[in-house]
Amino acid sequence: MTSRDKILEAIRRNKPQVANSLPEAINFPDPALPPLQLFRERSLQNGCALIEVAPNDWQALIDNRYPDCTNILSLIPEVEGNCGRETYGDKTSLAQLDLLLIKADWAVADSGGIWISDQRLPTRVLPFIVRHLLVWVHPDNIVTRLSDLYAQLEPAGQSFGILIAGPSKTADIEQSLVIGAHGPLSMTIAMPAIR
Amino acid sequence: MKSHAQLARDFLADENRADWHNETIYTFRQKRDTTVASIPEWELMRQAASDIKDHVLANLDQYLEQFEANATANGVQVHWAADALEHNRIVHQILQENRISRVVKSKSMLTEECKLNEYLEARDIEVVDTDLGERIIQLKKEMPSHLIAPAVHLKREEVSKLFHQHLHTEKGNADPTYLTRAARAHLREKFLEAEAGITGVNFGVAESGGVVIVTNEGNADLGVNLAKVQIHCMGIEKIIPRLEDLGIFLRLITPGAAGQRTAIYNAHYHKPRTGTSMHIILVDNGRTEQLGRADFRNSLKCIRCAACLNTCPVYRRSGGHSYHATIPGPIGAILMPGKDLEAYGDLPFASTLCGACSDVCPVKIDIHQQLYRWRQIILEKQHRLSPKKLLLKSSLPFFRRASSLETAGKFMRQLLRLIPRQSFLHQKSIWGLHRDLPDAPKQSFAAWYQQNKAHDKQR
Repeated sequence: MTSRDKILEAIRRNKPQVANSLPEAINFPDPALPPLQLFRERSLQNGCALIEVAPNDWQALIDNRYPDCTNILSLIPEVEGNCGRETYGDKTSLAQLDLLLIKADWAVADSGGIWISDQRLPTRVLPFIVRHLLVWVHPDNIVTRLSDLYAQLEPAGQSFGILIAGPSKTADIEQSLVIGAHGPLSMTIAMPAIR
Repeated sequence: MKSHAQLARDFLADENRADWHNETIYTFRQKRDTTVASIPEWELMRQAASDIKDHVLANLDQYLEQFEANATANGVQVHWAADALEHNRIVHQILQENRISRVVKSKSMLTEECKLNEYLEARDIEVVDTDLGERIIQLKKEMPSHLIAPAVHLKREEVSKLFHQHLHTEKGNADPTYLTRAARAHLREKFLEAEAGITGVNFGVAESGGVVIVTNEGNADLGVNLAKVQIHCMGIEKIIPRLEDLGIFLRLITPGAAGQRTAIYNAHYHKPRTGTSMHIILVDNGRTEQLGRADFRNSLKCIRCAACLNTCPVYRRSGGHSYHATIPGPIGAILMPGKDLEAYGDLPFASTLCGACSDVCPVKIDIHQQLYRWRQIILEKQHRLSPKKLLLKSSLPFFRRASSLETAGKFMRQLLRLIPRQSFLHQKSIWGLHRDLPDAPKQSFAAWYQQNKAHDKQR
């Protein structure tokens, strides 16, 4: 008998004989703030910086905001960057990346998190290995809470997806919060400038 | 082996440290309270999560089969391990087949439970724990003392000393940011060298066949996504039915730890990257047995959030190591006796039964009720008569008749006046260690009542 069969057999023997059904979906109360405002508030709480960018301001923004970033990988069409495909398969080049610019598929207002799926990532390690992360969020893609995000995702055919809610952090040394553990040292949320 | 009570006494010998520990952990609890109070749907989500987990436990076989089928269809290799040894063998075999000798591992209580590191190290494989707290205790050769803050029992000066010794940081520099950056640089090297990344699993989703890993530091995702082999070690009870259930569970898992509304990284792994392999090991190791214990099975609903540790007055004042177990605190005290009643029979007594643990549990495990039930089982197994039982039994005749109680009362009141206190309250008397004898009242309550009732009537 394989371990698989042993385990399944033990479960059948030991599990409760009466099963409850899955609960109804929760009817969530409305949050106090509209999604855009809530998202802004929560991302700040998570340690993100918030900026607004007009289409022609990108280059100036990168120059001003990240003067010491030499290796820039951009996955948004407005910015060119100076690292390309050759970076993806090479650990050493990846480890030297200073800045990644990427678009979020979705943002979750309640947690201040953003969702990036495989389709946007030429290699999965990118948002974790860079020193600084800049994520473009379009207000139309902000959902209220996590359950609204999952309502958008198709269970079949998932490959890889990551919810990121701020720069990496730790408090493992005497509970002192340190921003920048193993992942990025900073995270910036960029949204379109309001006219 | 020392019992919880003995280890707690050792811990409390350093009063300043014990106070510091208590306050540190209580801060977690306060942060939790603030966050939970700001989530109006908290109780609705708790109930839903509890119901979902109950439903899963009653259909665990079907959900595991569904999970396996979907994961396999995703190109993932699914393995089954009946116990810790088989789990370790499977991991080792995967590494051998891929000729791998360097591994990075993120936080996983399951691999602690299976003692995976020791097993692999004995076979010349380097395993580096990459969560900062885990790395600290790995260098210090200790066990984690907390579910989410493994090195919570250590002070910054101790970490500084340790890092000076192993990572050559400046002597005496105990600045947390400096030390964290040093660990970051040290572990970056390990991430880049490692050929396999091992993680624990917070949730396995049956309908999509993927695993979800919750972290703050980014270490799990760096490890997994830089290596050519990724291995996820998962207890069979971690299954949830649907992707949408994460909309509840991911919001319940972090507040209990340190009041975070969300983790920084919630990573969803379903398929391996091109050219790499992905393995999921489903581990029983006593879980099916616990499933068969009707009174204790719902302890398998645990999502390891640590809320019950942080709220427990006994945990806070005795430290995680006093539980001499992989899982400390109230949840450990109900899970561990199921694994080995002989070794962990002291743990259900490491509680005041105040019920705070059950109140904060995000999946509504009746922890304090289970602690009480374990006590019943343990006491029934003890055949010898305890002094407490003996005393109660011998006093039974006096309680049976009012007149004999009256006589016994008179005798005791007299005795209390005459007996020298030192005979009860000396160092060697367990009873007297934290107790005092009462002052003897002038008369019995019955006599007092008679007198005062008469008094009232006169008025």
